Amino acid sequence: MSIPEYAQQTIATLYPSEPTNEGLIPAHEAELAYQLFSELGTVPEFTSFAFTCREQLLTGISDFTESNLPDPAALDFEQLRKVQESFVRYILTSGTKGFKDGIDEIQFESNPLAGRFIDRRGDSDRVFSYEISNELGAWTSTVRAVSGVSEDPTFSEVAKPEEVMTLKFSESMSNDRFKQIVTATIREAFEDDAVLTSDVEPVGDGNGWKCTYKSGKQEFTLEWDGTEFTKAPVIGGDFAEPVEADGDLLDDDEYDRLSEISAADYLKTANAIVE
Amino acid sequence: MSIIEFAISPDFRFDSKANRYRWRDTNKFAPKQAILARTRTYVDNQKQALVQLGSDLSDGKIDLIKFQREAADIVKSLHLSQAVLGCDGIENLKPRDFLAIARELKKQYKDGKDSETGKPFGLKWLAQDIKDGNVSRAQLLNRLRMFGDASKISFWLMKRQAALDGGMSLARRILNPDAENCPDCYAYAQMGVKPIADLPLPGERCQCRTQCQCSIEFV
Repeated sequence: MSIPEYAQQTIATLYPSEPTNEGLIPAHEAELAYQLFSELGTVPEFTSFAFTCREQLLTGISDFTESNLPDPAALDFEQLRKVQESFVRYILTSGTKGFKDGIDEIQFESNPLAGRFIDRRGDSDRVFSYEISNELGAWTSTVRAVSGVSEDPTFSEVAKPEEVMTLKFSESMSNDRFKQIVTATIREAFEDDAVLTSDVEPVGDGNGWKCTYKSGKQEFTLEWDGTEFTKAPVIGGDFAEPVEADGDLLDDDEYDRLSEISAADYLKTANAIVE
Repeated sequence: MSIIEFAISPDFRFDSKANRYRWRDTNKFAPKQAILARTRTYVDNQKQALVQLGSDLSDGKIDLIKFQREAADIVKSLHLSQAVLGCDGIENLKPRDFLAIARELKKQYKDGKDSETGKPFGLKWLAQDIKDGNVSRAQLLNRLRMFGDASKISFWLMKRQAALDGGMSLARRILNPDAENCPDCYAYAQMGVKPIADLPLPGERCQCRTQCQCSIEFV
C-alpha cells in the first residue's frame, strides 16, 4: 500500500506517538495506521473523531464507549463498532509477532479487549481467541488457537525464541525435533502457517542458522545470526505450481558414461578443492 | 586482503605427479589438516551449488538436459571429495576406490532403490518426475539437498575400506546423542560389535536415509 503524502501528514497529525508494541516496524506500522485511519474516514468530522479516538486508544479502550464520543451525531453504533474492530485489528497485527495471515472476522461482545477472530481458509476456518491489555502505555496481545489448527501437530509445539537462541548449530540441528522448534518459532515470530522447506543450516561460527520456509504460496529465507532475524522473500517461489522445464531426458547409457570417473574428473575435483 | 582472510585462504595447488597439495610459493607440501578443511568447505559449497542448479532449472535459466548433466557432475565431485575425506587425504585414494565411488554414482544417477519403499531413486527419476510435472520447486530443492547429503555414503565407504585394509574386521554403530535417531539406527546400535559386512553404513537401510547422523567405530 502506498501512502499518499496528504495521508502521511494526517497520520503524523493523528499518530505522533504510536502504541509502543515492542518491535514495531515503522513502515509497517504506518500502513496499519493508514488502514485504521481509512476505516475511520477522511471527512473532516471523522478526522476530528479519529483524533479523539487516538487519544482514547492510548489511554485505554475500556473508556471508549458510545457515551463519550466527541460528536455522537456524527457516528452511529455500527460506526463505533467499526472503529473498535479497527483498533483490535491494528493491535493484533502490529509488531513482529503480530498475526499476519489475515483476520477475516472479529467477534467480541461489549468489551473489544477480549474476543475471538477467524481466519477463513477455504473449507475450514481457523478460530483464535485474543486478549488485549495495556500496561504503562504499551499495548500487548495474546492469541491462542481455539479450533481449526489442532490437526497440525507442530502448531501445538511450545517453542520460545529463547530456546532456539540458546542452541548452537551441530549436525543434530537438521533433525526433526530441531526443525519443529524452528518451525514453531517462526510461527510465533512471523507467519503462523510457516512450513520449513529446507534443513536448518549453520551460519557463521555456529551460533546462527538459516533455513527457508513457505507461508501461503510465498517462500522466504530466514537467517538467525545469533542476535537478530533477517528475512527475505524468495523471488519466483511458487509451491502450487510444478516446475516446468524444457529439454529431454538422458538415456541410461549416458548416465553410465557420466558415472565413470576419469582422470579429468579426479583432477578437476582435486583442483577445485583449493580454488 | 586481511591477514585473517589470508589465513583461511591459503594459496595451494594440486601436484598431480606427487598426488599431493603444495604451497604455491614455497612448493612445500601443504599441511593435511588445512587441505581437509578446504575439502569440507568444498563439499558444503557443492551442496549449495546443487540446490542452486534446481533454482536455475525452476527459473527457466537452464533446460532439463543441462540440469541432468550438471547435477551429475556436481554429485560426482561431491562423492569424490567425500571419499577424499573418508580416506584421510587425496594421496590415499586408490584406483579400486574410484570403482567403489563409481558404483555408488550409478545408484545416485539411475540404479538406486529405496530400502524402505522399494521405489527407484536417482537423478534419472528426478528428471522424469520433473518432466511429468510432478515436482514443485520446493520438492525439487529438497530432493537435491538429499542428493547432496547422500554423498556421505562415499565417506563411509572409504572409512570401511580403510578399516578392512588395516586388518579390522568388526564394527559397531554409534548413535548421535543429539540427533533424533530412527528405530532402525537404534536397532543397529543395539546389535553391538558385529562383523563389518553385517553392519549397514550410516544412511543405508534406515528411515533417516540421508539425514542419518550415526557414525561407525571400526575395531
